[in-house]
Amino acid sequence: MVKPVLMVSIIDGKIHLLNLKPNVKNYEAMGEPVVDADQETVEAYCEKAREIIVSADFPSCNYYWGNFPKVGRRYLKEIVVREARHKFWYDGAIRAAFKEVGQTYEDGVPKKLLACLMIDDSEVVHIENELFGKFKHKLKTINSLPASLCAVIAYTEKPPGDFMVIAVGNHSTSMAISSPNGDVKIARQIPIGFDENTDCTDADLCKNFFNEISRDITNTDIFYRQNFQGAECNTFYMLGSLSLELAMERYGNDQFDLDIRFGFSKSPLPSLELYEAAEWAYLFGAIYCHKNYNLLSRQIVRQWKFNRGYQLAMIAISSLIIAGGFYYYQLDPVDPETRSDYKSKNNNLAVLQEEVFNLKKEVDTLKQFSGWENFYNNTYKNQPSWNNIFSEVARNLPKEIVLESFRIEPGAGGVVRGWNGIITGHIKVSEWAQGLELLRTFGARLHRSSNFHIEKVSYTPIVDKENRRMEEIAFNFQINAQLTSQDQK
Amino acid sequence: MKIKIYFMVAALLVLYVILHLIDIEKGNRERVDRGIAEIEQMLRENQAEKLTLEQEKRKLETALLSIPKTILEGFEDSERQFVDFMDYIKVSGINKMQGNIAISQIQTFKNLPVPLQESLFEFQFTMEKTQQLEKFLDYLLIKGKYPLNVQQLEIKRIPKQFPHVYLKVALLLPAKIDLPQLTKTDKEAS
Repeated sequence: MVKPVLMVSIIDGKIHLLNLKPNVKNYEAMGEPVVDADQETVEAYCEKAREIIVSADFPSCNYYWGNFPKVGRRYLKEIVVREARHKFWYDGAIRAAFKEVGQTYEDGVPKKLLACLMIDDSEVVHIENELFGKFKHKLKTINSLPASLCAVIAYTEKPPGDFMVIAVGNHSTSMAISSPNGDVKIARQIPIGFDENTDCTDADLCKNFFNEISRDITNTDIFYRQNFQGAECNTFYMLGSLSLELAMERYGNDQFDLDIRFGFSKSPLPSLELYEAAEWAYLFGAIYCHKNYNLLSRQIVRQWKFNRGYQLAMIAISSLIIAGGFYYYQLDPVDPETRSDYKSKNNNLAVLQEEVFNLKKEVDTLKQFSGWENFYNNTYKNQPSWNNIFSEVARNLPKEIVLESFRIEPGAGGVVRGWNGIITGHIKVSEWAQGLELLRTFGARLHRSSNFHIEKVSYTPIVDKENRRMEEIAFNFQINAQLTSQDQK
Repeated sequence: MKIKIYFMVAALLVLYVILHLIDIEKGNRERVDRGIAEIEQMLRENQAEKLTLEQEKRKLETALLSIPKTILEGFEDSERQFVDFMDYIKVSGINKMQGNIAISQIQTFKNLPVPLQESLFEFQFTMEKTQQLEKFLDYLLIKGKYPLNVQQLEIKRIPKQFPHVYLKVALLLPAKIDLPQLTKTDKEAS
């Protein structure tokens, strides 16, 4: 349930109320306004309200446009107050509100053009402390009635130039001339009202009312022209009840020399009819007032801002606490099984690491003895068949071949080495082919043997001292072979 | 106003506590999960390393076990072994082959492939038949069971004479070692 914004209008000491419901884009009126509410009703409405916005017809209020030096806002306020005391003869404490509306030059010096309004401090204090003392913390703004009315006309109608608002009440009429932005230039309150119960029925009374109003409008316009040289006010808006509108249609237009429009061309609040908007503008106009025209004391403004900030902060914190609580609740905690799994795996790892450490030590110890394998392989093992290789060579040797030498040496190698055998000799035969055939046969026989692996055979003819071949065909040969060890067979 | 500030501070504290608890709980979860993943990775690595080491150990033990224990244990006194070898070759029958034996190096210490004492012997003799040579080599290199390393064997024809044989061998007498204790399984496997 959204709490309403309470709009309060104080005219001629009477309090009028209207509740507004804030929407995303605008406000919506909640029911009918309460006219001339008593203190009890006011308190009941204030109790329910989220915030209170006040507009009042301050009798001591003065409006003034003037040039001021370009200084900071804090010093500017002091200057404005001093100027107001001097100009309007205020005795006691005053409260001032102002807004920068332009820039001017005075003797070539740039100055700020300010729209100011000044008021006896006691009048605002009375509203703050006596009328709404209990609900001071809910007060959001206090505005002057003319400023509120001009603001709502400026917001809704967007007039092309300066305009006048004539808000007719039952007992008094408020007149104000404003810039197109809603900054009041002059304002007056005249004790002429339009009583809808009587004035409409009596044509003479009605005509007399419009005649008097017309005269006051003209006087106000003259006063305006005197104060603002060269300025013109061409647009006039009259606000009031439906019966005033009807009376104006019947009798009023004849009395006016000026073109006066009644009410709004479109309703400022979508939920209101045009006639309702024209009648209740004095109640909701304050929501369009510029913040600089707020007459509420700075302390209350601070308090109000703090309260709003506090509310928002607490909402945010509470939401975070709830969301965090839910999130924490749904978090999957580390269950005991996972913990025990972690511990068990950790223990397994420790055991395994110890095993690996011990194995490394053992392997390192064993590696110290790896030389023994080498020693054993090169002494007891990997020996050629010493007890039969020579007989085998002899058995396979053709009688035409004479061996010169047979050398056996251990070959290079790693752990298991081989044996190199070199057989040299010569052959004497009658024909080359025969000799070669004999050598081939000898080599082939050896190669077939499990003890030999022939690698290379070379031969050269034998020549005499003069490098001539001998009559008897003879050549030297050399056979390189690998001797197979007994263990490799 | 002060009460509101106290409330706000209290609410902020509650929020901080909740966020802190969330952080702790999430941290615990992450730490345990990460820890388990790391341990599993280390377990895999250690198991692979263990397997490799076991294979290497088995290979080394097999190699060591392939060497007869008597060889590893029988060389405590290298001097004694050297003298025994000298006695052994005395009855090798080399005298019958008009041979002689020269010792070119006596008991020189070497550290590789194992700590040992090396002595070099050079045999020179003539042979009438290959069977003579083979008998001698069988006696010296096969039956003798001495750790001999043949460095060179050369048979040369000498015109109008019997072939001349030159044999150079190294007698390698390793120092005694203390063998590592081998596992029963490995012994069986070997």
